[in-house]
Amino acid sequence: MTKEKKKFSRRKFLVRSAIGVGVVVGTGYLTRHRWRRSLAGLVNTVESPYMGDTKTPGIWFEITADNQVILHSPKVEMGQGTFTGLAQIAADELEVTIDQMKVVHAASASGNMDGFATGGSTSISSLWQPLRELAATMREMLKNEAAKQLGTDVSGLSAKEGVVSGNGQSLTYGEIVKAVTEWDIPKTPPLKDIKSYQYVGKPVQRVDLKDKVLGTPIFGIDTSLPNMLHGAVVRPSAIGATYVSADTSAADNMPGVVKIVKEKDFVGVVAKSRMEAENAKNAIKVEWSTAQTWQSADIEEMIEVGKGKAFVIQKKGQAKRVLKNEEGVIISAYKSPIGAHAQLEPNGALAHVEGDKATVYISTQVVSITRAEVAKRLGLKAKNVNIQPTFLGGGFGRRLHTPNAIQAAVLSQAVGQPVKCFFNRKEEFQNDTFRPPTHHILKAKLTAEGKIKAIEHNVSSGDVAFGSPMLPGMAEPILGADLGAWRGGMIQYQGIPNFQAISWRVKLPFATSWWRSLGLLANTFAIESFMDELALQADKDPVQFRLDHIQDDDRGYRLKEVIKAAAQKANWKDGVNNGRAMGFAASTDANTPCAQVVEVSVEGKSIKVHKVTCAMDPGLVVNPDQVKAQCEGAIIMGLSAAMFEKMTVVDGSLQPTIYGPYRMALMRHAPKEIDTILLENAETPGAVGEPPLGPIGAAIANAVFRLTGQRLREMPLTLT
Amino acid sequence: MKGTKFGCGKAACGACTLHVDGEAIRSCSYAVKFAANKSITTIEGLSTGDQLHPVQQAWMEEVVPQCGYCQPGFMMATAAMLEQIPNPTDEDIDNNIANVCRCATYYRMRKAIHRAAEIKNANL
Repeated sequence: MTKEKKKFSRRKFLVRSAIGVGVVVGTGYLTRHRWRRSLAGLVNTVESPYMGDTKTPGIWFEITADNQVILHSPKVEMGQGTFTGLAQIAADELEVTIDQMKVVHAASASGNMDGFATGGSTSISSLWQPLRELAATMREMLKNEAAKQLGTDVSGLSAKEGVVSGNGQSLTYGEIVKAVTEWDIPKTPPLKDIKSYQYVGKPVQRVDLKDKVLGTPIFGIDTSLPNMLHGAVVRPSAIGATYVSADTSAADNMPGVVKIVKEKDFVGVVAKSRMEAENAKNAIKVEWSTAQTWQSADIEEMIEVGKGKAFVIQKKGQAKRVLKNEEGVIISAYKSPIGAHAQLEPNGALAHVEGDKATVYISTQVVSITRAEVAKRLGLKAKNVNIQPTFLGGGFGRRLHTPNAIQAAVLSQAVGQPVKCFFNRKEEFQNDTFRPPTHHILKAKLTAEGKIKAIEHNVSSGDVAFGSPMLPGMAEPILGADLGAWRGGMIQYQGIPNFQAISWRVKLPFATSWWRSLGLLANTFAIESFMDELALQADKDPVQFRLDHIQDDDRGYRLKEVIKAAAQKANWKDGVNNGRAMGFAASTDANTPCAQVVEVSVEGKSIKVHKVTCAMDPGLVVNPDQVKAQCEGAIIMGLSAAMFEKMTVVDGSLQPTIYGPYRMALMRHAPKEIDTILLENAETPGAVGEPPLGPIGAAIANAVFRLTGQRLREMPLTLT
Repeated sequence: MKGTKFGCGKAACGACTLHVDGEAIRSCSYAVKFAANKSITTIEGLSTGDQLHPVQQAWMEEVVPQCGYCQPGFMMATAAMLEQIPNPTDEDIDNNIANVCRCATYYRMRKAIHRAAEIKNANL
């Protein structure tokens, strides 16, 4: 067993036990609290293991007669480039060219199903080791078979570009598989030297690029089947509304209506066309039960630090004691609003239930959970439910939930034909699983020399991880604090002698869950704005001030390097030059540190971001072009959230319900220059898709302060 | 043909953009009767055989798409703009390309639009 392999196994054990071990609950109050803190640290620093098959090459790779390799990916492609990264990794160990690789979504019935989800920036990092081992094993299987078929010894054979050759003979992979009836799976062979890889580390073109430029990829909403009907479900517009009853008399005989389906928790209609289904749906009168008519002010009051349940998630030294005496304590509060996912493809599914079997075509991030929940609702065996994922028209955490699949399946079962059922845009906005609003209180004390003596971060948030179906119920009492809500909420400047972070959990009356980067966006906005406020008080350069508080260990080294790289590349200068100011911020998400410098100007009350310099260290980079693409997209998405986006609660409903009124960054708001520098100070790939969302909000706010003297402590950033 | 996408149904996002007699239209909110006897081009008709349209070539060169859902709408909007404004400035792009991309590929898109103009003008 290689050293690397051992490390992976240990990681798998640790994190699995974090969620799966109930025994810890009974081990006493003090132990539990210490355990929570160590778990909090663990989850914040260790990548998730892959939770599916890692031993059966046959369900991962399909080799065709024309010598192509089809990788059946259990991770879905939602724009993050995972298909391309996986193709690169597999091609290098399989000894095929990248052009011979094709990647498709694995249907759950293929047996290659991820037990977790596509999310949390874990696809490449979690599959790095297992996929290389699977591909290397497949290569050896092909060589062994070739030896048999050629009647020669395998030691004389080698594989290259999909051809096994030696002793003057050769067979393509496609030729080899034609004659195989049963495979022997050998022991995992040694992996190749990373330095010898042809594709890993190179800016290989996206494998889905040309199709996406031609407009041919099939998303969930594009799917169709013969005899397909269209469903529509009446959905509430009020927060907390539960279904009581429905009067369908006006809809029953409307054109195209095939069936009205009344369930215990919803009413839906099946019709011949989408338009007919929508029209009939709108004619149904539903009685809803709502306990309360919520307003934004109610939510803002609920979310205040001190109102929820507190959990200490990080503690070193005596921060509480140092900050107790309020003299000289600097205190600031920050807020972030409710955020919508606003992904372009609405949620929905095409389901076909036939007797005791069902197939669901869906753009989802959670294949296994969708399968389990559809099976449960329909009373079918999970193995009889096949989930066929499609391309996702954006994920961002929006597709971790399954009601659409369940509803489509129920409607299909009711009519005995395939039924496609999608949200319209208003339903999408009002039934989102929102990014929860947050409230932060930061406290710190400086020494006479202008160094931080103690710092404390309080973050109050609605549920993130606890709002998703991915954690088993057992996780709540064990974890206590929501590990999604405090992502990015710990103090990364561990050279500070005393620090602590406290997560306050608030149960909100509407659904909140994962939104790309989870708590990172809001937590970094608060902490990194506060760091600038402290630097100002200490009369120190903000970049140097951060460097002065970073510990001397591996994590600290990597953070320092990205900070220095970003500052250097941007020619960091404090102060206002030619009407523009720079702003700086840094964050650490999972194991990936990221630092950003923005160049901003202000005209009237309008903030303009001209340039962003981003330095990130995700460890080994599989595809530098696509990692940069993730940085560019995350920066603009984060800018959008920081500067424009906000859902409000008006007379019980979440508003607005359409693009435009839900303000987002468009082309004219996007920085014209984004300069990304990638560092690779770790030997294996780490998180990519979310970490670069961290710094942008604070960096902009910090620049705006230099330009205007206004310290904006609330997102979206609004000058007065 | 699946390339033209539904995004909002209110002409607010541009995912459904196509050409009616060469003009970029948000088709979700465009009554069919207005399209009668007119020429309609979708993303599927932007390329000619195997020859990609300059906008598509530029999109390939700059590796623009991520999830890809909104991209046909952006490419159609860009292709129509380049017929009117062969050498768009950044300001022209800001004023004319107002679709929504949630992956926020705007940075590469802007580069691709300038590149598309170059390719198109070189082909003339």
